[in-house]
Amino acid sequence: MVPGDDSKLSHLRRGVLEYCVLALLAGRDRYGLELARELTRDGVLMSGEGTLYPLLARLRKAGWVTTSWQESSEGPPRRYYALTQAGSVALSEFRPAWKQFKDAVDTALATSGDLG
Amino acid sequence: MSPYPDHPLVRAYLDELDGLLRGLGPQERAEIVGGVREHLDGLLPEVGAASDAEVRAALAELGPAAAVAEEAYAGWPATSPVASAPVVVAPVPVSSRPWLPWTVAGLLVLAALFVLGAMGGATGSGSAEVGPVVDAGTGRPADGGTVLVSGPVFDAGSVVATALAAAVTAFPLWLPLVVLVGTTGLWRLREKVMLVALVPLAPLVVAAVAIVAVAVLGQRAAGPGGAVGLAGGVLLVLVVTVVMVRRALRRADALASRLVAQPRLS
Repeated sequence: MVPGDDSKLSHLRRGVLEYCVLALLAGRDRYGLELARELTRDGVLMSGEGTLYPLLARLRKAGWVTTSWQESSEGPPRRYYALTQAGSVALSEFRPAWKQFKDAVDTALATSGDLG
Repeated sequence: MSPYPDHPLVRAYLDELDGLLRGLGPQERAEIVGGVREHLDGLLPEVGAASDAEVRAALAELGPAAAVAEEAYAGWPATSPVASAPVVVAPVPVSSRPWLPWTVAGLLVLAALFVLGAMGGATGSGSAEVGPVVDAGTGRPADGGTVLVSGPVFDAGSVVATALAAAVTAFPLWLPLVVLVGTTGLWRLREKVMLVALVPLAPLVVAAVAIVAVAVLGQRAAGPGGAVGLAGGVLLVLVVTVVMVRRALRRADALASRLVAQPRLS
């Protein structure tokens, strides 16, 4: 990745990454490391895995996720994150908003010609 | 609890993160540090078996503790405009600082003393004129002296005129008072009107009390009535001044403290 890309990406991530976490939790409950692995898979959504934890703390504080301890077959119990009703509503509101946003950005970029 | 605090690199990382998160609430801070610790627990499952290289790799994937802390302070989307926008602090306007109510109080008391002093002189001389006791039946002085005055001695019109004249003479003190009261944000409109009206109003109150006293009790009451009116006028000015200055100082204080109360986290 070109230096500087990461700061651009971190601006783009702001306000979006939260919903990616909610979306990952929509299928099933997950623990931190699992979420971190999913989100850093392509290096776009998240660069450092550590930043996931402040984000999860905020989501819990907002009442969008809850946490519970579950036994693990390999090692100590794990803190699992689950989507709440409020989190589910937030996610369903984000989906159309994101589509609009994405389309608008695509349209704006397309009108300037494909220089990339 | 966790097998990893023993590894110096892990311990150093968690300690650094914990220190950086001092500005957060204890629950959020423990939650974040705990989350990171579990993350490492999951990555390095075998107690004591993790090599330095493995630990370094795990910590590198987490990213610098400072970046984690930065994210923690960045705030929730709904509140981030407040939390992350630079706090623009407008200085308290000069006209809303404590010197202004003190100055206004000084001007007010000076002007009131000036006006009421003039009034006191007027009512004092008025009562002197009434001094010789006039025999109601003959219209001649009871002591046989010259009749100085006949008919109503205490002239309401002239008392009001004296009051107005006194108010006008206080104009040089009243004008800066009006300017200061007009420009400050420390008083509300009603309070401003009262402050500005006080200097012209006080002598009229004195005059009104004297006139009422004479109307009800007769000429002899002109002197005492004037004195009572004067005392009332002084009391009115002092009470209004004290109340208004206290209010203004409290507001000035609130304005000043709002500027330092704004927390700056990152």
